[in-house]
Order: sequence, then C-alpha cells, then structure tokens
Amino acid sequence: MKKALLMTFITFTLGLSLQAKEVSLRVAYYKNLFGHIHKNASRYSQSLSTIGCGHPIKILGVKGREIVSGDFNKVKVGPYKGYIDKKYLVRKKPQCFQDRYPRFFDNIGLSLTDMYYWGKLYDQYIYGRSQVQ
Amino acid sequence: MKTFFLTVLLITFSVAAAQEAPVAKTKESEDVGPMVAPIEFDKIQDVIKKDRLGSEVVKKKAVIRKKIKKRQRKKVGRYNIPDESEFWSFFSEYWLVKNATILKWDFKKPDYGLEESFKKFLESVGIFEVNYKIILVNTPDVTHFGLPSNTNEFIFILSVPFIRTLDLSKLEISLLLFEDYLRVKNGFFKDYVSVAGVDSFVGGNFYKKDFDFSLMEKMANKYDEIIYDKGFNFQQQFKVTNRMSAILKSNAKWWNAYYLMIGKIDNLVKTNILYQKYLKIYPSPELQLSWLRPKKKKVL
Repeated sequence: MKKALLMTFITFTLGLSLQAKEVSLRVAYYKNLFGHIHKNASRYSQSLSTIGCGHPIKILGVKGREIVSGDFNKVKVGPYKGYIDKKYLVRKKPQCFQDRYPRFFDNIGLSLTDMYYWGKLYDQYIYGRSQVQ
Repeated sequence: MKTFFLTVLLITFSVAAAQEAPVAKTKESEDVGPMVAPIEFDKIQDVIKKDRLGSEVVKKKAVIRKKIKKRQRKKVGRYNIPDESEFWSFFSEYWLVKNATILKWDFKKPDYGLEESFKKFLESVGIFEVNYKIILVNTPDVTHFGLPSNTNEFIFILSVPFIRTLDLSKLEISLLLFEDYLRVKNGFFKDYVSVAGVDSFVGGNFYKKDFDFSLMEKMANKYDEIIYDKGFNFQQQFKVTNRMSAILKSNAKWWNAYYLMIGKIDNLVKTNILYQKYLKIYPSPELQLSWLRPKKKKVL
C-alpha cells in the first residue's frame, strides 16, 4: 500500500515538473530603438536588462503554447528570463534606425543611462491611432 | 698488360663520350628554340571577335564597375543623416531622454483612458490615420506640449499635476491635446527650433566631413527655450484659438467645454503660483477667452 502511494506521488510530481517545463518556441526580434526585459509582466516592473533594436529574443512556452501574461510574452534573452510587451516584438529582423544610420547614431554618443531611459520612454508612452471608421 | 689497360680505358672513355653526346645535342636544340611563326594580331582580334570574348570582357568590366559603385554607395550611405520623415521623431525623443530627470516621466501613473478618448475625439473632428504618443510627466513645469515627430505622427507631453489640479475631464484633456496638435500642424514648434543649417543637415550626408554635433546641441537648446521659457507668441495663440473655435462650433458641447476649460486655466494661473509661468508659454488664457467670446454688435 505504502509503495503504491509513493509511486503515485512520484508519477504525479514528475508529471507536474514535465508539464511546467518552459522551452524556447521561436525567435522574435525587438523593434524599438531600445527596450527593457521586465522582471514581471508590467511596463512599470523592474528592468532586468536593456536591449537594442534587432536583438534576438527567445519566446518561451509550455507544451507548444507561448506563455502570455496580459500584453506581455515571457521571453529569454541571454541569461535573463522576463517579460516584453508583445507589440514591440516582430518575427523578422527589423530595419533598425541604428542600422540604417550607423555613423549618425555613433556620433550622437548616447550613454548607458540614455539607452536605459530611451527604453523606458517606450514603456511609458500611451500609444494611439485615429482610424477611418 | 699495359696495352690491355690502355685499350680498356680508351673504350670506356669512348662509350662515355657517346652517351654524353645526345644530351649536349638536346641543350643545343633548346637554345635555338622551336621554330614558331610570327603572331598576327589582326587575325587574333578576328578570333576574339568571333568568340565574342571582347563583349564578354566589356560585360565583366561593367559588372565590376557596378559592384565597386554599389560598395562605395553603401560606404557613403553609412554616413546618412535621417531625413524629415524620421529625424524629428528621433530628435524629440532624444530631447525627452536627455530631460528625463527634469520632466520626471518615468513614474507609475493611473490609466486615464486617454488612448481611446483622444482617438475618438480626433475621429469625431475628422482627423484620421494619425499616430500619437502621449507621455505623462510628473511636474507642473511643463503643462502640455506637442512635439514635432514623423509624418502623421505626434508626440504630446501632458502634466499629471496640471490635469489633477484642474480636475480635467477626458474631453477637456482631448481639447488640450488637440490645441497642441494644431500648433504642431501649423509648424510653430519646428519653425522655432530650426536653427540655421538644419535644412541641409536633415537628410544630408557627412561622408569625409566632420559631424556637426553643435547643430544638434543648438537645436536641443531651442527645445529647452520654447518648452521651458519662451513658448508661443500672441499671433500664434490667436491663430490656434480661432481655429479651435471654428472646428468646435459644430458641436456646442465641445465648444462650451473648451471655453470653460480656458476659464479654468485662466483662474489657475491667476491664483496658483506654481502655474504662473504658463502665461509666458501660452499667452494668455484671459485673451483667449476674449477672442472666443461672441462679439456684441453695437445697436445704433
């Protein structure tokens, strides 16, 4: 009886651990000039790292389904696992501003603080668009 | 015995001499070289023409020339400066980033639902296909402002303390943003910050030239000047107020809301010391009210 209970427990926990395993489903690219990987699925959440346009990002998922929390995708960038707003991710490598105007961009001389704030700016914006009805 | 030795020696030498002879002959013949007829270049040219080798050479040269040109174009292109359609958005954001600590826009704010309300307002007044970005700031120093951006795109700064102090409704906020939209649309801001040399700088190229960073600094100073200090003049304000009145007159609710909002602002700048600078930036709510008020016809 004890053995049977133990076996059921092991199978159950093993099943759970297998079910919760996060894997990279696809690669997406960051499309804004700069951005942040957030610790939680909120634009106000702590930044784990600053990334630049065109940065490859692994979209994480479980059992073939992307992990989505609100407007945010769970992602992995380098050693960091965090969240990025879906609207900033594209499937194909974008034509980034810094790639189209590399020398101009170099000569602006942005500091790390500037890059951090620039990423934050995109998090803080309220976006809108008027459309023909 | 002696004669035998001499005979053997003689035979050995003669055999050796006989073996050497053909090699010497070959060397001799090499020195002379094969007998070749002189080259007739005219005939070769004909052959080349017949084989179309000449045109092939021309083609290959053209391909190489194209490649070199393409490489050079790419090299020069790396020194391009964004044109009108991209420069202003970049520069306005650059200014916002550089002024992040003064403007204090990096803070947690409530969702005012501005995205939807301003969208609806723009669509109601017949302005379509316009992108906008609103950045809420946590300072009373900059109350509201429209910054130049890409084609069909607008960046708005809006002060949360200002909205709260005046207790503005969504419609009133939309009216305030629409006023800023008209200012940007009229080019008041761009005209002010466009220092000498900007026209040739924007969309230009600085290959084998020094990058004129001082121009960008001058422009950033102009941004500071207009946003923090100088603002707009009476003529510009008159133009914007009249335009607002003309657009809003079709809807009495909007027009009244606009009139009342200007009244609120007028009252605020006269009573609250924090907002006294407002008069320098947007002269002046009191005058705006008088411009908006219907003129009384004198009865003779």
